[in-house]
Amino acid sequence: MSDDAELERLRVEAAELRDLVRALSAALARAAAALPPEAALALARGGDAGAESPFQLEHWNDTIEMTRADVASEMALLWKRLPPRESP
Amino acid sequence: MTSPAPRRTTVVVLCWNRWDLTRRCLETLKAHTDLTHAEVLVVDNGSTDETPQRLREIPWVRVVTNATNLGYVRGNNAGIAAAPQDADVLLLNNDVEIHQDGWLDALRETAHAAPDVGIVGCRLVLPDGRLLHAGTYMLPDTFWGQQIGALETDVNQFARTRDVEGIVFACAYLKREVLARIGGLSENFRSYFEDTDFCLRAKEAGFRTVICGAVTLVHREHGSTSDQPKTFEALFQESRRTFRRLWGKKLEARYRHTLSWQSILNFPTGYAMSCREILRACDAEGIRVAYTYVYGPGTPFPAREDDDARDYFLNAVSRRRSGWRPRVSVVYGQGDVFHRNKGRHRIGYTMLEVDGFPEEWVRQANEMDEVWVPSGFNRDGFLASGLKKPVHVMPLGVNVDYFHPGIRGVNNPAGDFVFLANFEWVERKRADMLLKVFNQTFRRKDPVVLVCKVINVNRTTNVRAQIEALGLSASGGRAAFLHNREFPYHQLGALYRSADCYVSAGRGEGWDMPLMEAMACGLPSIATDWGAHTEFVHEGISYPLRIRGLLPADARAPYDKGVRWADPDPEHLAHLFRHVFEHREEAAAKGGRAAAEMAARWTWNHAARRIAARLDKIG
Repeated sequence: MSDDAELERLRVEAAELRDLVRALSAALARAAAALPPEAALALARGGDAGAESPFQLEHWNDTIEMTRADVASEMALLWKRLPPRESP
Repeated sequence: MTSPAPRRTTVVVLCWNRWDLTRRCLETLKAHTDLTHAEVLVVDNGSTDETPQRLREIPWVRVVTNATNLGYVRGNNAGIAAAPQDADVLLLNNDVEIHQDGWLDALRETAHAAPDVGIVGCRLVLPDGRLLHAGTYMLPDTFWGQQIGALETDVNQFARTRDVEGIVFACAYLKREVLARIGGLSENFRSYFEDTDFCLRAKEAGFRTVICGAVTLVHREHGSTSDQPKTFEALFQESRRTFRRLWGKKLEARYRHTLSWQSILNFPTGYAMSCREILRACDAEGIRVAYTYVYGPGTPFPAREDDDARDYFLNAVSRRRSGWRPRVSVVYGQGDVFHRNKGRHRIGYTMLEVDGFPEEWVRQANEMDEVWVPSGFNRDGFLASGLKKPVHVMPLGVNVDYFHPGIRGVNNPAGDFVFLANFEWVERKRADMLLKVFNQTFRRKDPVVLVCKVINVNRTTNVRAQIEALGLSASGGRAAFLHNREFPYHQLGALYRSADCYVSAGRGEGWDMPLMEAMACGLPSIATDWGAHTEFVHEGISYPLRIRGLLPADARAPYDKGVRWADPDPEHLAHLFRHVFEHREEAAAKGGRAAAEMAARWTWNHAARRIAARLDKIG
């Protein structure tokens, strides 16, 4: 294969990849728009505790101070934030 | 054979103006009451609004009209006098609403469940849902009656039928036998204190006062004088003086022991939480306890304690003076503050989660007259460590009004099976093993989740970083965390009832109060088969977690030097996780048996009775 042909193949592949990235970004934006604000923020930050984590760490408060709270409201929030079950 | 017809009940509703309240009371009464064996008698205490006219329009109500306002006591007595002489009487305030079918039948059945039950009250809640009343008590320190459970979030605490000192007469079922014996309300009072006075007189006549926790009514608390502060204050203080004159010496005489109690009360620690319960139970058992803070500057825990326990009873107990050298004093805390015991008969009461005790604790324990520990596990550990003084096993307990299977939880709407662990993030608790094993045992697609209520008050510990460092699998079992949340004690049962199984997989426990609370709530549990909690945990009511052996206790706590703790078996933990998940009915049955056993053997009343019995022997 000539250099020109190889160059053309890479150009096509790059264009396809760019289209894929655009499509992925659009899908991500749509998904993020449907998320609650805190989850969207956590997703935007990326890194350690993304949506794939089976552990709910994104709302972790690192303080050593105790926070007084009611069980009912805390549990309702906890169930809401629970990482989703994976489809079998 | 047919059972005899229930005794008839006259429901006496006293009112003075405020037709809006009376109308609501009668409407809800009619809607939720089977009046086959009851009549409704309204005593109109000289109302000047539309009340007289409206009452005439209600055919199912009998009306007694007083020409003028006779006040609460005489008004109710007019109703009692007008009731048939063979009928029981139920006094009902006109600012009470009924939203529960069968309430009157339940109160009547409770009243007739035993010959010595004389008075029956119920749970009262405010319209906003907060609990208002689950019985009353009166301390001779202040002569200011207190309502048990007042203003707590209602999670269905105090749901059983239980004896109390008194009830408020917003709803009071009075059995005919009591009325025949002691008459109606004492007219020494115009209003206030007459209800406690009645209950105490009934007690002297041999009748018990009980709360039927299965009945809950709504109390709007619009008493006709509490809306008028000056009238209220004058009436209240007058009645208080009368009550003190009548009952002061008798209430003081209910105490058969006095005890100095040096401990910790107003911090979120296990000793403090259990201390609160012990003080309350001791008082009910006839022990007059005077509390003082044992820690502070110059001790291993130098923090000063807040004077306000945010609890009427505990504040009163904290303000009692036990004198310079009380006859008997208990230091309830770690063994390195035993030396602060100021009693003539000195008792050190402590516990530890390892198989021995530190040299300094043993040295100080040997300066006591006797030592108390909650478990045989700790007794053996103390003796093996060189204790020479008498040692008594004095188990702790659990509050079965706050922790029982009827407490309302907050269920996971996704329907996952929920394992719950409640612990401080320290090495001993083996959170690393717990999370790893759970993550490896289950898959993310499984309908199961581990909820960890975690406390960390150590600045050098980064819990989040430690969890991340475990390298848990994204496709493994899911977990969620409640981090450094301090829940009101009366609500903790709701946390346990939000789960299906409790897990305590640490290396050892000095008692394990959360485990006991979860078991009292009817949860099956997985618990390390080693430590002080084996005093109350066994295979019939729990899933003991095998240990692989004992290890040198290697923690940051200085008192763990030279002693051992357990090495829980992670493979067995995985097996138990899976077993409970797959055998839910078997597990639920164990949980039910656990709740029954906690209520039958391990309440704070049991604990206080043992303390009282020991004090009897000390003399």
